[in-house]
Amino acid sequence: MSASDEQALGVLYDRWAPLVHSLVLHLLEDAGEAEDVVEETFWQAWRQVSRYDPSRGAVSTWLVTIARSRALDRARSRRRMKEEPLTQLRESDAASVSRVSSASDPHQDAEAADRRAAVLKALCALPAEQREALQLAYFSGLSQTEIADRTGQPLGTVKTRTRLALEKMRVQLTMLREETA
Amino acid sequence: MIQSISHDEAQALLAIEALGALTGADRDALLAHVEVCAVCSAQLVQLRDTAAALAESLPAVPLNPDRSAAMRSRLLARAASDLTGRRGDDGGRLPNEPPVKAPTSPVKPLSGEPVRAIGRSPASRGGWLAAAAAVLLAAGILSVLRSTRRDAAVARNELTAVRAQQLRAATEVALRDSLIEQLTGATVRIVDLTGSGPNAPMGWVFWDQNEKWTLLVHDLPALAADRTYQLWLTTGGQRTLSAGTFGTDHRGHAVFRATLSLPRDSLVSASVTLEPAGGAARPSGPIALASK
Repeated sequence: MSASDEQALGVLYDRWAPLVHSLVLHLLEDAGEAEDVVEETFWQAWRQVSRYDPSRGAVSTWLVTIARSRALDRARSRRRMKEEPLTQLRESDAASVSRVSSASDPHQDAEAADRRAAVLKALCALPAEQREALQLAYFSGLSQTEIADRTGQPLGTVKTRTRLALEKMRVQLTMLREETA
Repeated sequence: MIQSISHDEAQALLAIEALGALTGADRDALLAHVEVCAVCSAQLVQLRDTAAALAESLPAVPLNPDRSAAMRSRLLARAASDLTGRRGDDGGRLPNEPPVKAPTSPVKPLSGEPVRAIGRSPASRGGWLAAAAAVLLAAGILSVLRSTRRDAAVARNELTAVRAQQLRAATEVALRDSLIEQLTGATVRIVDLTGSGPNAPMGWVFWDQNEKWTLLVHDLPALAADRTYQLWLTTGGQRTLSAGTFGTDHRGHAVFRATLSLPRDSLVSASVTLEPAGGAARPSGPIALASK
């Protein structure tokens, strides 16, 4: 890919298309539109590969950022965004994630299942109001002001909750990875 | 004109930027700060990776295998066509493709740092950054293989260039990964350093509570040719140890890494003094930075 070889695009697609698809399908709730966004995402990555700098973040971060941005643009344009993803998340969800994933996708690889379990565990560890702020920002694409309006909380409180939530997630994920390394 | 913000103000905005929720003047101001602040740059990279990891909390919903295979073939065919048609035109853009705008994590190279390299095995690199490097490595190899089939002489040149690029990328990733780990590890203790004077220099000592030390400083005055800055660590027994000497870049910034074993929780204070070139056996010059 770094040398603009189309075969490398296939490598990226095989590795990350399942994650990208799961995200955009969740954001759009429309299988057809989700497939469009997956294709657009990898095409945009192909066209803009020269701008990707591996020292500035993971490949998955780059692809997920492109996909999320495109999906949210579509969702906003039709004003049909999901607003409460995962807010009812329970601790037990993290423990059952491997089983759920296996049932819905028998080819899910062990690494992806482990990472999903780790992220869910970190999410579950957050106070509910911080998790809500994080999810409204990430999965619904709401601004901090919109979240404040939606939750009835002062803007400063929302900013603090969002910051603490993502910071805690970072620390939690780092610790979980070290535990499993 | 881009507004200037303090380091503390920037810290409060990093998570919001990582979630893609920062806009307008606030975002411009934050990114301008991140361009010149190694601490914020490193944290923003990590927070963006953390935000992206949220996508992995969702249940896996695989694409329909037939439709996925068709999509893959379409992409590769379009990419091959794009390669053919890219000579001088901008073909291949999707009808609704927005202007080129890559997600950015503005991390500045840590230029001018008088760094003592700390060895680090490839196996200990961060998983995600390693994954990124691995993907690029595979991609580069594939590219070289194709070129080899086309023209052996051209392929040899490309191979050399790609290997050099990979080596540079791998080295940079390893160094940055190492730095990030030393700044943000779960056991890392952070000591704030402040100075006085018109530019109010500041710094931070990051200690893994074992033997690895990283010092970041901003806005220290320029050094005369016969002077150096020296980092001192004071322990509970009131022993003052030198962790080494360092210089700064033209902006007064520096990243200094050292290895010095101390018992856990034994650090009482840290300071930076101005000393003769080569350093001193004990603090003798004016204090440039000191812990609170």
